[in-house]
Amino acid sequence: MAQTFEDSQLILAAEDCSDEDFEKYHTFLEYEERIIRSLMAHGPVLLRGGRGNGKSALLLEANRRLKQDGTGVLGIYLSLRHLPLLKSKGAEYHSHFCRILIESINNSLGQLNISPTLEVGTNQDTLREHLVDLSKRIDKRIVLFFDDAAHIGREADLSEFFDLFRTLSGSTISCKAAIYPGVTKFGTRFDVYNDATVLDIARDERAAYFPKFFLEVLRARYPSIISKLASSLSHQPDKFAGFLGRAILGNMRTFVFACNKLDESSQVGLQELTNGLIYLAADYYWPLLEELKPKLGIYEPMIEPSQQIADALFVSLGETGATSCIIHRDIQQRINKPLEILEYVGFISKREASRGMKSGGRGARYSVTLCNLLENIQGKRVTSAIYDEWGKDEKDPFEFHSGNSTLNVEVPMLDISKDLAILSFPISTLKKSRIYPYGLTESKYEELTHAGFTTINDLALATDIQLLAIDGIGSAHLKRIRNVVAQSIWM
Amino acid sequence: MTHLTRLIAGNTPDKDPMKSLIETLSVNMAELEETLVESIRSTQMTPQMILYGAYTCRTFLESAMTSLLARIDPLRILFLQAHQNSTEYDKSQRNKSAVQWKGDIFSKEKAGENLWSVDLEKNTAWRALLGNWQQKMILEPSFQQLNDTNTTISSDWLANLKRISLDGIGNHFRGSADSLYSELSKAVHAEYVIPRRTVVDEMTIRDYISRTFQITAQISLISHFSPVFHCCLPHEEAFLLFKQTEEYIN
Repeated sequence: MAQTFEDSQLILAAEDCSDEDFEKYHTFLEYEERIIRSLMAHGPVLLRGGRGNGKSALLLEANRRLKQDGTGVLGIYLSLRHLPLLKSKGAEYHSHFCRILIESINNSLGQLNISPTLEVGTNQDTLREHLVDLSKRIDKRIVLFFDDAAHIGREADLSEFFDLFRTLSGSTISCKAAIYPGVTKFGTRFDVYNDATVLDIARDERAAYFPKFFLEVLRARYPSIISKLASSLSHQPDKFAGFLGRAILGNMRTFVFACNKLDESSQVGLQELTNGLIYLAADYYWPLLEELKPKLGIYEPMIEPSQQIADALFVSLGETGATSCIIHRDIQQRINKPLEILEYVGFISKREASRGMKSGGRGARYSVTLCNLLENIQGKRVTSAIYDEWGKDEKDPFEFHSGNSTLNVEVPMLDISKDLAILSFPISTLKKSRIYPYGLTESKYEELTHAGFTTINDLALATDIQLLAIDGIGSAHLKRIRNVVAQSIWM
Repeated sequence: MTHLTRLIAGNTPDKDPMKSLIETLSVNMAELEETLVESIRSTQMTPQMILYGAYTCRTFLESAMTSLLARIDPLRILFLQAHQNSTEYDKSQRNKSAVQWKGDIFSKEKAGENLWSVDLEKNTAWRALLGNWQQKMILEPSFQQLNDTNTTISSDWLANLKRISLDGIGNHFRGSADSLYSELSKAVHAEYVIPRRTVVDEMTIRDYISRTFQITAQISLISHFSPVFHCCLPHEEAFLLFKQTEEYIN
């Protein structure tokens, strides 16, 4: 257990790791290498993938490699997890964005002993000129990596961001940004297909590399699990790795949670696998929906229908044992936002946008997590038959045809005045817990409370100077506070 | 014949004039494909490839699109071939018969315009390979056919393609091919009045090759699911060639 807690560093988002930990905990295989190469090359790129799929790690790794001597490229990584960006629009957004970007660029220039730095207060009209000048001055092209540009609870489209993305991209400047699949509104000036190359990061269980990839991850990070495999599983460790990877829809962060749980057992057989998947369904997936709720702003009322849809969907699939489903496009259009939420959390993952249905019409095909599926099959146990069948993923998808009323849930109207509820939560929410394993200690909580911080919003808006002025809070604590606040708002 | 070239050109017909047309286009493409494959598979690119990579990619992209055009609209390319063989063809001046990127590959009309307006007969935009008309009448139904065809081939490129909606496929190809063509052209023409090595480095050339192969392979794969394209391959062979092309890049 102690080991698991130590290793729980792995559950942190990549952007929260120190440089040292980042190198220690990240391994990139062929599939990722291809994406990293595109991120390092010249040209605008949008990296699209679900939560916990490793987008940040890829951006950080590309930036890290560009820092190596002789690349002829200046890479700058910028996380856009800033509350003012989340809450602003138009000129105000531009102003915050430019300020944050310039601070980040100047910070990088400072580390490289390059002067002069960019002028603070530069606006979006002149920022590109300054960047072009800088590129000439250092005789390098510049790559800007923008992480967390989108937030699922932001009600406004991201036209300001994509305007800036387009404006800044040029002959010597390339922008790369991470977005999640739900981002579909890019504003009027940005043509997603023409103004950027879109790279999808979605580890598809049908890919030949899939079991090999997860086996490599196990070998690199959890060799103990391989050595603990029961004889029924140990002769094909790649099959076990592929099954586990498939169970959590190829999501890296969830894979780490699954491994942490399995590693607690002295032996890993089908019973332990069953326990691990049921644990994830009950203690990971369903609570994630609850955790997401206060972060959704105007979409908060969509959580209930999302839960109802997930329930109905898994019951239907559980009855037939299908591991994927096709949802008729008429139903899909009606429940689009709840489906997006379920995909964001990791219950489902869209594999095909349009597939013909045996029952007539067309719809999108979604793969589902095997954890919640297991909860809904008779016996709730991974038998050797299920281990074989689900691992192959060959069963025909369950079809929700247009006349099927199973997913007929009421989709509520949105309250556009609603802010992110999480912001008004007391800072005690951020105390060290299962959700926030690197949350506030009792003493930090008391120091912050004593200094007058009561809500998460207060902490999110506090400047570094304000926080560092508090007795007992140094730069290491500051980073930890920033990380936990960011996790609470951005997941 | 190399994998991607065969995927693009399809089955060589038995009889002329299509036989010689497809053979000529294939020979040209195969030579370029071999050069690009050799470069991307090398651990370190030669300085020559870094210098000429964008040019080679652009020429390959143009050849691929011309070949696809020949398979869907043979008359257009046979006419061009005949003109080039005639005594009237003048190399020293611009010939209007040449394949135009804007016109033959892309229609000049914007997406969303009324496809069936009464003025349609006044122009020939509907013939453009990636134009709005071909999208509606050929690309989307073929893509639908591809989506509904099972294959044992496992491919990331195919998985990515299948995540695109039917009505989004036209924009996907137009946007990605046009932006790639534009980037390659900037690197080919002396358009960058900046040190060339700053922007056209090895990482970027590798990315250009990868994107050129991916786009041409995806469009070509879909073509084999169309009843309108000539020289179509059996589906399993098309999938296999597609997969083999993807493996070049890894």
